[in-house]
Parts: sequence; C-alpha cells; structure tokens
Amino acid sequence: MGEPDVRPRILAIDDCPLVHQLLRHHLRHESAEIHLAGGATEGLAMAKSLRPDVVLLDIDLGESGDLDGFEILSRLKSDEVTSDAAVIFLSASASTEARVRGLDLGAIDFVAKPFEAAELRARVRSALRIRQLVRMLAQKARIDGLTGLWNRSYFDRRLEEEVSECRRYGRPVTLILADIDHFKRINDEFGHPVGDSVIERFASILSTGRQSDVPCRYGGEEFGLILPGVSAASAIEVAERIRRRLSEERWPGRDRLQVTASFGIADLDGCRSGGDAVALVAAADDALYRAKSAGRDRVYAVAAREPRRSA
Amino acid sequence: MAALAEMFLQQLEVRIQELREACRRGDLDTVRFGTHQLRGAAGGYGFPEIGKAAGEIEDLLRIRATDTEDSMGEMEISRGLESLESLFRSIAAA
Repeated sequence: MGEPDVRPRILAIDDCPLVHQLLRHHLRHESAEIHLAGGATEGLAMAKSLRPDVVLLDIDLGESGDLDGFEILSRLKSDEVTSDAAVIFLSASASTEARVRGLDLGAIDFVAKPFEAAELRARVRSALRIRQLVRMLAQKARIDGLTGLWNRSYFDRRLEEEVSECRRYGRPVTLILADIDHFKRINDEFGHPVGDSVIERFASILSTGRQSDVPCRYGGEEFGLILPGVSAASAIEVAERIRRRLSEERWPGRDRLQVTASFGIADLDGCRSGGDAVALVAAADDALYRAKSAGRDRVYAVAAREPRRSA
Repeated sequence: MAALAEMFLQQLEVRIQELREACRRGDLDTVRFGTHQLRGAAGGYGFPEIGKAAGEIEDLLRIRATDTEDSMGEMEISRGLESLESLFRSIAAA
C-alpha cells in the first residue's frame, strides 16, 4: 500500500544546453534523479510520464519559438497528473510583475539566473520537503489510523473507479465485505484494547493478498476488500482463506478468545440494479447479512449462483 | 567545478564564433537566442562578466526587434560581439 520507496525526481525544462550541464553538475549530489528537457513540448511530455516531484522551469523559454514559460506552468498546474509537482521557475530577466505572475500561477519558488549553486540546491531541497509533506497529508487523508488500511472515503472513491474500469474494459470486479462476529461481546468481555488488537490482526490478514487487492476499513468492525480483475468464484476462495486464518488465530493470554468473521461477496454481474458501485455494496451487504443470519463464520456470495455455505 | 568552467570556456569559444558568423549572415534571431542563453548560464559557471556582456547584446536586439524604425545598426551588435570575444580572450589567457 502507499507509494513505493523511490528516489524523488527533478525535471528541468530549459532550452539552453549550458544550463542543463550546470544543473546536472550542481545537483549531482542530491538524492534525486535529474531529468532534462530542452523545450516546452518535450518538457510537458516528460512531466506527464515522469510525474516529477520538482520541476525547474525556465520562464524565459519561448525565445526558441516554442510555448511561453508561463503557458507551460499553467498547463502543468491544470493537468491532474502534473499539478502536484512543486515548480521552481528560473529567469535571467523576470520583472517583479513576472515573478508575481509565476507565483500566482502556482509556482512555489523563484530562482534568478545566474543562480548560486548553494542557493539553488537549498531551494530544491526545500521544494522536495514541501512535496513530501503534501504527499504525506494526502496519504494520511486516505488511511485508517488504527489499521493502516485504506479508509472509507478512499474505499468509496476507489470502488467507483474500479467499477467504471470494469465497465470500460469488461473485466470483472468483486467486492468482499467482512464483519467480525460478535465484536461487541469481545469488547465487553475482554476490554477495548483487546478489541482493537482483534481489528488490527484481522486487518493484517486482509492485507496479505495480491498487490492489486484493495483492503479497506469500512466501518468499526466492518471491512471491505476490492478485488479488481477477480471473479466472484475466485473471490470465494480468497474469503474462505481469510475466514479460516482468522478462526485459527491464537490469542496469547486470552485462551477463551475465539474470533470469527462473516463474509458477503458480490461481483459486478451480481448486481441486478444496473451495476454501479452503490448496487455492488448493497449486494455484498445483502450476502453478508445472509451469512450472519445463517449462523456467522461463513462466506456467502450473492447473485444467480447458489449461496455458498462453507463453514 | 574547475573542470566544468574549463569545459564551458571551450564551448564558449566555439559559440562566440558561431554568433559572429550568424551576425555576418544577418541572422539576428540566432544571435539573440545565443546571447540570451549565455546571459542566463555564464554567471553560473563563474563568469558573470560574460553573462553581463551577452545580456547587453540581447537587450540591444530586443529593442531592435520592437523598434520599427530599425535605428540600431548591425554594426553595433557586431561591435558588442567583438567585445564579448575580447572579454573571453582575456579570461582564457588568465
């Protein structure tokens, strides 16, 4: 989950090879990859494919007859893919007015040419720090504090995305909703710290699947697992494995504690009401309800298929 | 950094020749673009005087581009490039 640990990327867009050479030299000891673009078109294309953390942009670009530097800046900022990059603009001649315009267009800093190596490096590091903080904030807003799983708001958004992917490319998507059985009783009998550790343990079992699985904490003791590209039939195996692992868990010092969970499964074909994300959740919830009322600690799948008892 | 500065001076010699040639051809856009680049980069290699001299030529060309009277002669640009070259020679000799 989260971003893989990679070196930050810096993209410099400047039409002067002399400046490229200089930037490469000055930034060679920074813990970042340096990429160089010689013009507007190349720069914008590279920004889109590289998704750099910091962009050093020559605002005087355009002398070469290409797009103006301000135009590149506004394109970077209006494209969802590149808008998060921290842009530092460089200029040999920018007036106060031009600097204000650059900052108002969304650049975070300005460096005058010719630049001092030490100052350039310090400003790049500062931009990388800000970029890192913004990324952390964005990440935190999507993650459940107790379990480290994706939270409900991320779940909702992601499920919508997966459902529309599913429609566009006709690949299946399956949702497993899981609920820890008699969770209130566990809390009452063993105390909330034990309840929390049960939730954490279940979350870690949920996270042991494929890289593409999307495990979420849906609510208090309820969890969602989105399985892109997986049919309901294979999802039953997945849920069954999780169910078994949880019921076989040992709880040191709590010999009487036995934790189980119930699972409801629906895939996109299994939704009768048009097949959107809401219907998918409703169908999985329905299956979960049936698993509960049939005695808990079991996996049910909704749809034309026979409900499958597996306990 | 010393190696980098040396490399820059080597490239500069060629560049100045190219700019003078372009000026002789009357290709002032090339001269403007070239001096603009030097203005931005030379200081970074430790030669702010080169950047300043190049900037003066660029400014002349900029005025010339917007001035329809076309009062600025190519002589003046050519003289500017000459002094840029002699500046380079004095630095390279040092």
